[in-house]
Amino acid sequence: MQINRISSSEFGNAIDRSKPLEFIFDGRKLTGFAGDSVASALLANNIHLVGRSIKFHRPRGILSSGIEEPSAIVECAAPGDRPVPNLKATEVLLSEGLVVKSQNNWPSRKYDAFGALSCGSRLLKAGFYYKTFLWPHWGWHRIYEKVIRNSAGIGRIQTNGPGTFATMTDKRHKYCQILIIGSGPAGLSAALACSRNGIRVVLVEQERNFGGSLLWRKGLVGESTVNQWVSQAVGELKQNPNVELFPQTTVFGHYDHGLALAYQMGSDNEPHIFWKIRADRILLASGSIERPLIFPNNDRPGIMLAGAVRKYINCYAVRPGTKAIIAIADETERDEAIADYSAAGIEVVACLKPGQEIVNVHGRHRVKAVSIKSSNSETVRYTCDLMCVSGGWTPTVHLAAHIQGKLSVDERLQAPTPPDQCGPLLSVGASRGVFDLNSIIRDGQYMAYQAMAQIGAVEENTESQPAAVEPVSFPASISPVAGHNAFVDFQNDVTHDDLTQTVAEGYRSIELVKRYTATGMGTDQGKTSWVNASQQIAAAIGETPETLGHTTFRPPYSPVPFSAIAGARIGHFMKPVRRTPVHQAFEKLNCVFQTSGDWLYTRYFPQENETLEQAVNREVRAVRGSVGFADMSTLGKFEVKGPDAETFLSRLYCSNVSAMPIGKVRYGLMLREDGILFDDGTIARLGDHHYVVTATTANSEAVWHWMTRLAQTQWSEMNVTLANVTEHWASIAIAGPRSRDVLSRLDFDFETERREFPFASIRIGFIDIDVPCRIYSVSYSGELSFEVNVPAGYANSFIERLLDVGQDFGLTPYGFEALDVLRIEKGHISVGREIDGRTTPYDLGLAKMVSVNKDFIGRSLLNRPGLMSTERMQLVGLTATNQRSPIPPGGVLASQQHLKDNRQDVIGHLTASIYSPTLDMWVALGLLHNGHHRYNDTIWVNSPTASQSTKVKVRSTNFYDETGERLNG
Amino acid sequence: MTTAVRVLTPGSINVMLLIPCPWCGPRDQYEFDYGGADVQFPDLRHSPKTSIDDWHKTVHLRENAKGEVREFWYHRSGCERWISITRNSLTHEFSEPSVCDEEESSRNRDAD
Repeated sequence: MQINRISSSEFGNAIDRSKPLEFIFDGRKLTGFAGDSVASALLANNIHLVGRSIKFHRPRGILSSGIEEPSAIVECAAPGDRPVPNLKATEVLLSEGLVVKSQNNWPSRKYDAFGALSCGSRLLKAGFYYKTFLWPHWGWHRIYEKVIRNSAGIGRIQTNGPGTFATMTDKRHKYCQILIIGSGPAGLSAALACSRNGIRVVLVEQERNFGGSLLWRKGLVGESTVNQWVSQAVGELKQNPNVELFPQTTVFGHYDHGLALAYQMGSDNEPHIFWKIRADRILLASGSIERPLIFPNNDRPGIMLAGAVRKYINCYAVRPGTKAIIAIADETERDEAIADYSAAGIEVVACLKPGQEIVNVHGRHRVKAVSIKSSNSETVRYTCDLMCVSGGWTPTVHLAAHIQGKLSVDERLQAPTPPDQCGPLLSVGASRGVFDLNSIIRDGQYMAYQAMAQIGAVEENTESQPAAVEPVSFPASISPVAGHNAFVDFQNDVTHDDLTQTVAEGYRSIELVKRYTATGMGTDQGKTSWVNASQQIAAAIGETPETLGHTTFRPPYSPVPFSAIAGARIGHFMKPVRRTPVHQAFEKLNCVFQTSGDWLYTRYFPQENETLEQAVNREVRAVRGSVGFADMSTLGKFEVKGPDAETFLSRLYCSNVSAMPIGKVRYGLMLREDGILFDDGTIARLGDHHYVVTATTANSEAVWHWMTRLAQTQWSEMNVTLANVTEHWASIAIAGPRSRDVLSRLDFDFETERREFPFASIRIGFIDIDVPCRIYSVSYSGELSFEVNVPAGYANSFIERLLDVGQDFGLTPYGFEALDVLRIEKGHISVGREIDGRTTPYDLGLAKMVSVNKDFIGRSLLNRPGLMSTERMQLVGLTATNQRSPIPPGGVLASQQHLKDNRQDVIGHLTASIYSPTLDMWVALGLLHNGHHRYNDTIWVNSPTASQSTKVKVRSTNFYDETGERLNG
Repeated sequence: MTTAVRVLTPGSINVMLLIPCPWCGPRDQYEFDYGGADVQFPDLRHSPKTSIDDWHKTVHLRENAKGEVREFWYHRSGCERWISITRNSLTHEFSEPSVCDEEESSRNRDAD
């Protein structure tokens, strides 16, 4: 039974009475109509008390009718969806079966256990957290924080349980010439002007229906009533294909170069949409927001904004009470409101007159009576069930301030006003302080012509242009009445006394007062409170709001769900996984994959019941003993062609690349401009003017950037062409003493014998007659090894062929774990470990790789004395003096054994440490101060986190096959 | 500090600017990677070899101007060209872009 619903169909232009909806509020089954907001449906059922406040747990009701709502914060769940907390009841559209719950109370909103706090609000003053809980010093993290976190905050997010979160948000881009934000009188009149001049327009409206305040105000536009004017205007706009209308869309951020971000709430199975709208000009027609009044107990349920009550009456046919007390600052506004209330059958019990003061409000869960003191100090108590307040209207200027627009506080308006223009944004209508209906409509036309002239769509200063409109001054407000329970910010429970006390404590900057008291924070961002607060702060300091200034408005203007920002980029879509061409074939071999960067890497290949360690040891032994194969496809592969290719490479790499015979491969090092080692890889010469180079997996993107950048911006005189062929080729390393035997079983159109195909060469040809291939004889593992490149599409069939011919030799797949063991045994360096952005070739014992016969990137700065110093950290090998002792990974190097004292004399750190199955002992690599001169010293590897300490001996980095004979096998 | 390893993640949320690419027209910032100040490295063509001072000036001594700055952008998700643009570091206003590499670009066009 909706007892507050007005039956006359003259009221309720937002609702559809033919579509009743059932919903549940705190377990009670209620009804409303399609088009209702949750707030209007609750009010229709005479429910004002909808929750408890954040700090004092005071009973709170519905203050407003829109996005500015500070108090009516609820949790909502559509059937089958998980509940979403902290939604404004005034913003959520009612739907069938919606489950609405009040928040921040236990056991119920009427009998709240924490409600006792509201009596003690004199004790919980501003800055309470900063002044209390100071001792004992351990109390904070052991006790206080838990208690406070439990009682503070509002809604709770349910991260598990049945149901899913509401529908995914779609992300869309949009371009328009003129974006108009708001469809009130200013927005509609501007849109009509643009539409008639053939402009591409997007008109966004945060509510479901277009018309803004015209939907609940009365008046005449020219000859027609506002209702007729709105429907004619919207009808005309809908006819024009150049005009797009987005209802239920909130522009929450304004960014550089005309970018506006907007969130459109979907309804009726439509998705939510996250819009990125790029516009040549933006017209901000966001209107204004009504201010409440400050007096004791001004937060009681049943005290509402006067304009909001008119909107509930006219748009939703809801009469929020029957006997009202009225306190409205503006006279015209007051007369209009009284006319609306009377038409809806609300009896106006009393009307606050100048000189009168509201001294108290009676009733806890709903206003019952109001005490008003006259100028002759006589107090009268009026019985009522509704109180309508209005302290004036605040222009909604936020979006004008998002890109450094400087607001000024207008004396006439007592509120921040926007600059004439901020980037491509022009404010129009009430958002710049024009309040009279017909002035707003003229202003809309005028500003639309300004915007169109700026983009060259109309000629400037033609006679058809309407005249400019001046903002009007706003009448005096109703003076606040102080009190410890006279609230300024309803959402953060900040009272008039809190602000006075904060100023008395010495806070003067408005930014600091905001942070100390939390005024203007929270989900409503002080939309109703901020102007009142700044006036009170200014008064307490003895300044005017104009000189006090204002805090910075930042996006988002109104809360946006994280799901909207994420859009469809969730799970794998957040960052697509890159799979190598051999992925399928390796899956069949029972490979365990691991993500690394973007890639899904082959980690190891466990056979039945094998642990990681057992599998890795078996794979390493197979490579050292016979033959194995691994996927190397993730290496960057770049073709370098042209008459200047050799010069290009000789400047790019610090190592020698000159006079390479065709078919030769060299190991190359690349430095940054500052001389620090950047990347390592191979350089292969395929023809007179044709090279192909490789880059490490982790750096392949960065190396490609670097190469293209040098070619295009630094050495543009060079005739050289680059091509990134990383994904064109699958690359399989075949490593081990029997690898040439495996190769010989494959049918190549070139010789693979040792004499014909020695170490460090490349051969190009075909396998099995028609499969193109490039084969490198290079080695990372230290064994005789070949890297076979075939076009990516042939990868899986090549693996099948390889497994077939490799059977006789026990060909074993190995993953990156085994590869890491193999390279550490050989002392080969790796990006991210030894090439860590701080080391030079000298530090890593690669001085021979630095050419002295040419100039290259990084040469000059590498020769700085600091980088040449032998006192630097240098790469060494380490073996445990007791061969059985493990060397703790991540340990630091020190001359003494330390486990507890973390201020130890650190002389270096480990970069890698593994158990070597080949040598049956632990080996490690580390960067050690002056390490190259400390061979055979005994030092300690300490790991306080692992409570482990191992005595180690310093040596060269190559633990296995020091002469390198095995490479030529 | 150094430019060689600065790679922004493709599809990052930096979508604010509208960058005038000389090849593709105005495009959203997320199609680009930032390349830092437009600096020319010492010329490696001439011997004697470049000096520490030359490189020190280029690599470490940057203007970091308040106002107009000349900088590189890489049009990753577009023409894959490095472009040089003047941006106002206070207002983000772009001046007309210049093409970094007329010579090479015309060569590539001829090749096509």
